[in-house]
Amino acid sequence: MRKSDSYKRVLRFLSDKRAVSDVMSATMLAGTVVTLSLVVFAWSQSMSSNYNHQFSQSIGAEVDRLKEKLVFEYVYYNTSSTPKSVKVYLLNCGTIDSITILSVYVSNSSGWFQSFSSPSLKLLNGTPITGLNRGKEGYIVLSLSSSLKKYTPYSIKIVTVRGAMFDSSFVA
Amino acid sequence: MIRALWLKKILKGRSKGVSSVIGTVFLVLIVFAISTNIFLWTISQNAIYNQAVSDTNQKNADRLNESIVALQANYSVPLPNKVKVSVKLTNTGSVLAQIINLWVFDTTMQRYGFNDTILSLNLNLNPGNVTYLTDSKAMWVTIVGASSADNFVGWFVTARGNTVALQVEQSVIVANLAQGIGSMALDFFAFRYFKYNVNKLAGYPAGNSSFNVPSRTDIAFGVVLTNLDPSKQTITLDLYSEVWIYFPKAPGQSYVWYIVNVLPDGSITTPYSSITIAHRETKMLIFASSAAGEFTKVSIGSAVENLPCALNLLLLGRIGARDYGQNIPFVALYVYKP
Repeated sequence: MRKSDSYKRVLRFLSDKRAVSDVMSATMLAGTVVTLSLVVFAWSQSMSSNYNHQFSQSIGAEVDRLKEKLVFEYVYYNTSSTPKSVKVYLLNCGTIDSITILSVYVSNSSGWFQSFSSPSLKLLNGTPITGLNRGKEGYIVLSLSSSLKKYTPYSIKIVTVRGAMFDSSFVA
Repeated sequence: MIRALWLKKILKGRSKGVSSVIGTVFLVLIVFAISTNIFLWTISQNAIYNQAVSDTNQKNADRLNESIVALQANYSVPLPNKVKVSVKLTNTGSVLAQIINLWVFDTTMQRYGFNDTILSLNLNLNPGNVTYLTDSKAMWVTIVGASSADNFVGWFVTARGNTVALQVEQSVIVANLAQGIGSMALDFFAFRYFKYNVNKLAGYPAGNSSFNVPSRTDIAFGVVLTNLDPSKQTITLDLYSEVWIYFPKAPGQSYVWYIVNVLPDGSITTPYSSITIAHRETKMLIFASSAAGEFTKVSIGSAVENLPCALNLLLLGRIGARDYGQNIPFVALYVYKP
């Protein structure tokens, strides 16, 4: 074969435009589909990750709430203090540390009640703490706005930051 | 036939519909991957939650199965502001229980106290275990202003959060008996004697629980007394408190053992310092000396061997602000030749 023949063939191949547009369009379409698919995949992954995170937090909070267990060791109505107060001794016998009290409600059957927000929690030796750890005992002092009726039963409800509720009763 | 056409299309380079296929495959893969991911993950979270619920239920069940009985409780105030609590603890439940706190409420003074240092004592009770928290193992609770004349109630708190009420010892018969003849009650069955080397009681505090005692042997007597004074006052015994024995068949033969102080290891100390017994407190007293206020050994002579004798407990001292004297008889002994 001569050299000029091969040159002509290459030139003819380069200048021949038949069917090129079909290949290009197919490639572009495939590329677009792949790109869009990857974008959709990334978006879906992100959405599912967010969902996982939220659900995980929700389950974690629920589990932590289940692990909380506060026991009332003793409730003492102090009539000699000014103002009169209720001292509540607590024990964390649950399986989670740092039980923090969000609010406390003292009430009776006739509809009277008084609420206390984030009362100061102390260990039995008087050391202030923010949360009661496992196996630890502590107390809160609730200063009452009015005197309680003598020999009347009262109920006391504690709500923790994690959402658990514990209640007990005492006689003034 | 269809497959042949499809292959023919691919071989001939016709690419119509390929992108749809790729897109569909990707879509299916995405949906499958994400749904599988969420499904498995949700299952794992559900397992975590179920485990937490199961743990909580187990703890509640253990808490319900825990059962401690506190019997023979006795409150006394031998020291100012210090309430001494003696009690017998029995684990009647099916699970191990740990005592972490003791609460005492003085119903007379309307004051309370607690002892949360008992956690360090590791009061762990296996099912069926019985523990006596008496004498040196007794619990102490500080209540300002408390006195023996006050009434008390108490309860233990376990690590699982249960409370165990202390049930006070009901010793009506003994109390009535003591009221009839004085303020101090003798535990007849706890009577014992000791042999000793130099000044140390052998086998203290158990000693020899018997009413047969050897002659020609240096011995001391141990008696367990409870202050059941109806006026609930503390009794202080002075150095003249003694044990006295006499022999009906050998007139003139008598022996005396004066009260002494004894350390926990059984060593007798001198000189004698007064012993106090608060209301409802039980103490073992040792009588070992032939001379009041000091320590001189005593042995029963051979002249009264193989003879019975009567033993009297002569208690002297103060009860509250008044003088006190009581003679407690009832014990009989037989002197044998060793």
